[in-house]
Amino acid sequence: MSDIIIDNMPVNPKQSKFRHIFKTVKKERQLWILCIPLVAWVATFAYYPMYGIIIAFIKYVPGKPFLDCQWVGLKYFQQFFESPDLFLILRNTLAISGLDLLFGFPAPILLAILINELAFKRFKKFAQTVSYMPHFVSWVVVSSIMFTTLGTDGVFNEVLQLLGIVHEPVAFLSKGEYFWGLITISNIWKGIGWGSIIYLSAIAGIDEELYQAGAVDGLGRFGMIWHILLPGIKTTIVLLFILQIGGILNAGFEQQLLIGNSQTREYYDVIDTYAYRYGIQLGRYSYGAAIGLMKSAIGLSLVLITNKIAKKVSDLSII
Amino acid sequence: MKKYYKDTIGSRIFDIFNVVFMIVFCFFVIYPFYNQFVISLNEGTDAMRGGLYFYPRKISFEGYHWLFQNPHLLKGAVISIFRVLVGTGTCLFATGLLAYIVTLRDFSGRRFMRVLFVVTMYFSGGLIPTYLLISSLGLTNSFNVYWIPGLINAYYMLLIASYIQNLPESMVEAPRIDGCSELRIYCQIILPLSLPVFAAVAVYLAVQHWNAWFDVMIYNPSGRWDTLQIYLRRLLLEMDMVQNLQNEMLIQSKFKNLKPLTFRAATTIVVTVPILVVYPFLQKYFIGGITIGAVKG
Amino acid sequence: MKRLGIMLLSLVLLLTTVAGCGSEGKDSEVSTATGSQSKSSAAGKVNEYGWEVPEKTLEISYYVGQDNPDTVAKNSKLISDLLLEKFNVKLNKIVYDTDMIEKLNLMLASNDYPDVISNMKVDEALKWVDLGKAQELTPLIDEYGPEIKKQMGDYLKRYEDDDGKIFNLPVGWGLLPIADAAAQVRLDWYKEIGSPEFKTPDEYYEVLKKLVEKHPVNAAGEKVYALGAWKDDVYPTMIPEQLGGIWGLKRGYKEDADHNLTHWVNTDEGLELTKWYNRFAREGLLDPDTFTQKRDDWGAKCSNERYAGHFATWWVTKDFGNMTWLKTKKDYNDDMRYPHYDIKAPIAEKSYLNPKSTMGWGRTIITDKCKNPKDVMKWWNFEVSDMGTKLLSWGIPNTETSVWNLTESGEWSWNQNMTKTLEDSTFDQAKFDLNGGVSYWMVMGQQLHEDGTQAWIDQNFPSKWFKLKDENLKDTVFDFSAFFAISLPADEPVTVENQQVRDIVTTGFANAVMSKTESECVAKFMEMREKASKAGLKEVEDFYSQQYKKNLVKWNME
Repeated sequence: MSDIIIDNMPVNPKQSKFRHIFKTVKKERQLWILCIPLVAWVATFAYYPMYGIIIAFIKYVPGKPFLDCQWVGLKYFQQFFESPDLFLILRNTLAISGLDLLFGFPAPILLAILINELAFKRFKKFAQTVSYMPHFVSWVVVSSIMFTTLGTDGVFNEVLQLLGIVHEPVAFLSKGEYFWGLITISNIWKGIGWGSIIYLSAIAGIDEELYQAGAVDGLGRFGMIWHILLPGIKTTIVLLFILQIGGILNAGFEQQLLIGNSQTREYYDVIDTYAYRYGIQLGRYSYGAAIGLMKSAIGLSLVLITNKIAKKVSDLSII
Repeated sequence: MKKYYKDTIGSRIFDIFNVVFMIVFCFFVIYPFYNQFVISLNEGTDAMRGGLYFYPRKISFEGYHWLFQNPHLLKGAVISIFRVLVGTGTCLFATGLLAYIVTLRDFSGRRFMRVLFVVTMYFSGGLIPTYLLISSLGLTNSFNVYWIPGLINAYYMLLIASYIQNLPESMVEAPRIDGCSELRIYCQIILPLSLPVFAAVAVYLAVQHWNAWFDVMIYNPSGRWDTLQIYLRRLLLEMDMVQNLQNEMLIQSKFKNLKPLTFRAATTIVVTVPILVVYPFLQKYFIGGITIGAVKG
Repeated sequence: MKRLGIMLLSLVLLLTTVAGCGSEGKDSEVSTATGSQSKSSAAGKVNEYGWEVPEKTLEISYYVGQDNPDTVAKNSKLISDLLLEKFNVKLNKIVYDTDMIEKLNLMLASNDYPDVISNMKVDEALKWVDLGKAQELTPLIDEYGPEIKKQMGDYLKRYEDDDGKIFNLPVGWGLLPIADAAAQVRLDWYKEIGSPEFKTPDEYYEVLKKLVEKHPVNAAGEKVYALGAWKDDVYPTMIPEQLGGIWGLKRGYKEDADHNLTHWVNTDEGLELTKWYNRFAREGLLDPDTFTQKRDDWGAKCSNERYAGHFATWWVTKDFGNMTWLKTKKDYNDDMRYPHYDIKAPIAEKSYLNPKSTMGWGRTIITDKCKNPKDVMKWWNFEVSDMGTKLLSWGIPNTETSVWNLTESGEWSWNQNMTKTLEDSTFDQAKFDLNGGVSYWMVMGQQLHEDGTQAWIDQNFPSKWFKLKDENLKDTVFDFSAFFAISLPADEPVTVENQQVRDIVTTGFANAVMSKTESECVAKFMEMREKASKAGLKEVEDFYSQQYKKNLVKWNME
């Protein structure tokens, strides 16, 4: 934003590097002073505890000092890659978050635009207030709602039978092939309103002068959406997209356990549910930690890579 | 927002479609919630039979009675509100300041600061090192543990930064030439201009603080700073725990008093309603839109 | 903006004051609690409970795991007052809402834990012993625990380590000869078809089929099923384990003459039980939601009279069926319930429906922080005595809501007003809890005492139906502790293999049962068997057999 702090003084090539740094810091001292508490905070509360990452490389027994535990190197990582379920859980994780990316990501953007286009102010407020209610409904409740609607004597099956589409009830919840669809729909239902809040705020931040200018240029309603509104929230969209790519290995946990069942396990088991069962539940903290560490490393790399691509393509960068 | 476009047939059709869609959408999001409300008002044993759709069969307030049985609940609610205010306020200020700093295009530490914080979104030391840190800092059994460890949130920093980035650069030029300090520019120019995004992040943060229970449970075992959420969670815990008991006799003696459906429904209502009440007040900041021109002039 | 700021600020100030008041209130409570800690006048004497009152207040802090601290505080109030007054004992029961294993790990990491930890899982307790955080109990038991030795008898040996030393004691130990699982049918419907006798799984199937034919739909026109189950927790793995009892399997394992254990997936019996269950599914007699619904959903169907029978523990059909109908149905009669019957497959020599463990559900240790382990042992010694069991299981005596009375000279009697309610099912559990029953267990047993009483209050007054159940099923109950005592070692290959087998078997069983034809069912069963053996079923079986045999030898049970 600012090019005021630094005067555009020509840099003397003979100036030593040290002096250059010194000068820059001096000019930016206000900002650096502001940074000190922020950096101190992050160093204490985020970086200092990171020594715990070592758990992934030792055979950790709670209560034993880290240094007394046996060093096993990459054993747990290797175990994960040799696990017979590896293919299954990777497939499910990628399928579920892929569907989330494809449908779950654009849904709140669409909703935000539609809410923004509502003409009656009261209805607009109302729709927005209620849209995020599902966010507060716990997964336990969501799963029982799904059971009453989609169970074999649920409402949906009754409707299908009335319409003559099927002759006997379809067991939607016990067929693996429906599971990915069901979980995507319930993720969207639960998150659409909540996710749209940030887009609505971005829309609100668009300068009204731009619309006035658009009107002068003869833009219609859809033209306004396409040429003014969408570019106005582009940074937010790109940012959230990059972050969601980074979270591609987080395909959910609680919803899997609650909506899934033994008949659909081969379709619901994702990295997090697997790590829970084979890590913490079996007292294998190091195994859980190794999987977590791997997820983090992949997540961060994906963010950096996507960021680079986004920078090349659209000149937007989050880092 | 004023209308800047002309009414066309296409636009009218779109409006109709939009309103119809929204009505259907509202039904789908409200109904499950309404249904929980119905269940919460029904008698517990009767509710187990299912089939409650639009109105309670046998009205009873036992679910709410059960929730409000704890005499400390009011104190918990006060602490919760206090936590929401302090936690949201401090985090918003600190995260916003960081977001402002990392959007300054000519600041040499900009990328360093961004990376420094983005990394924390992905890597953490896990529960035990964090616990040891918090207790060695003397933050356990204190109110401070509710806001200090969560003071800065890298995710919200990025959200706010993406908004600030879109502000016209000219906004801060004049004050800077006048010798305004950076902190003052942040408080007096950036903050008011970014109200919509601050309001949105405030909603996210407030709900996060309102619903938080894990840190209360881990770091405040003395019960001195128990929040509303923790009291409610404990009651739910009693129900869930029954299923984890190994001994049949123990389960059977504990299970007798519990009516999970009604209780869970009442909890959902009690936790959500305050948020529903407060939300519209924040909403106006991002539904109305702001005019940058006005601030500029 | 400004106005909002001022409003917020004043609100914050107001709240701080209120919060301040709140916490002051708490402080004063704490101070009164410590203030009342005085010397008991009865010091040195033996009180009516048979406890020798110590000179100095005996204080024990002990952690028992995850529970609601508010409820625990409420229910411990009366009994802790009594203990302080009459016993000069102050028990400080600590519970947290945190998950127990998580909390134990934090305690270990921060080296901050109380004198006694109770209710631990076996492997947790052993971990603490390995880390040297538990004190050895053997000499303490020898010196201060004669009652423990007497009550536990041979069982005590089951807690010795390989060197014959005891580092932990159980809570809830002893054989409670109550049958849990059985074949159940809806009694009034069963009577309608003339109560035909059934002894085998096939006859049971025929009866259920007839019941469903007679009652194809409930009052609301919804379909009635013969059987159904739910998906929560361990239940899916328990279905074959419980059904296996009919075919002579012991909790899912077949034991040969040399005490080798074979997993049900590797046995013909396992295939038979899967085919038997599959037959219900094929003919529309099994609830199609059996593997997808939660227990609450199952319960709703049970309450709506949609099951002709049930095969599992007794109390679910009692709570969701009988007790619900008693409260909600106008035409309720006493036959609207699910009694229990023993059935056995012809190929089995005996049915093993109810494997029992004497090992208790948790372990208790005295940690290295404890300064007065001998006092703790003295208290435990009282706890397991006849009178200790009464006080600590039934709650305080001599009040209107007490279930029992005790005179100054130490003679006890039932409080008929309260015990009557136990017999006619109007017992108020919440009031009972307030008296502090079951509150302070550390090493309590659930065995039958010399005078014929029992720690679980309702077991002292079983209803006629309850007696009938235990009469019908008494031959199915057997002590299988040598198996239940096996705990999988943390972070060893066999633990992982066991989990993999469990995953495969849970999914495989559900899919085989829900097959459309019998041949498909058999094919899926075989597929499951193959997958399980690839995942290391053999190693799991070997591990269990080996440990099982080791326990039998150690406990002289061969």
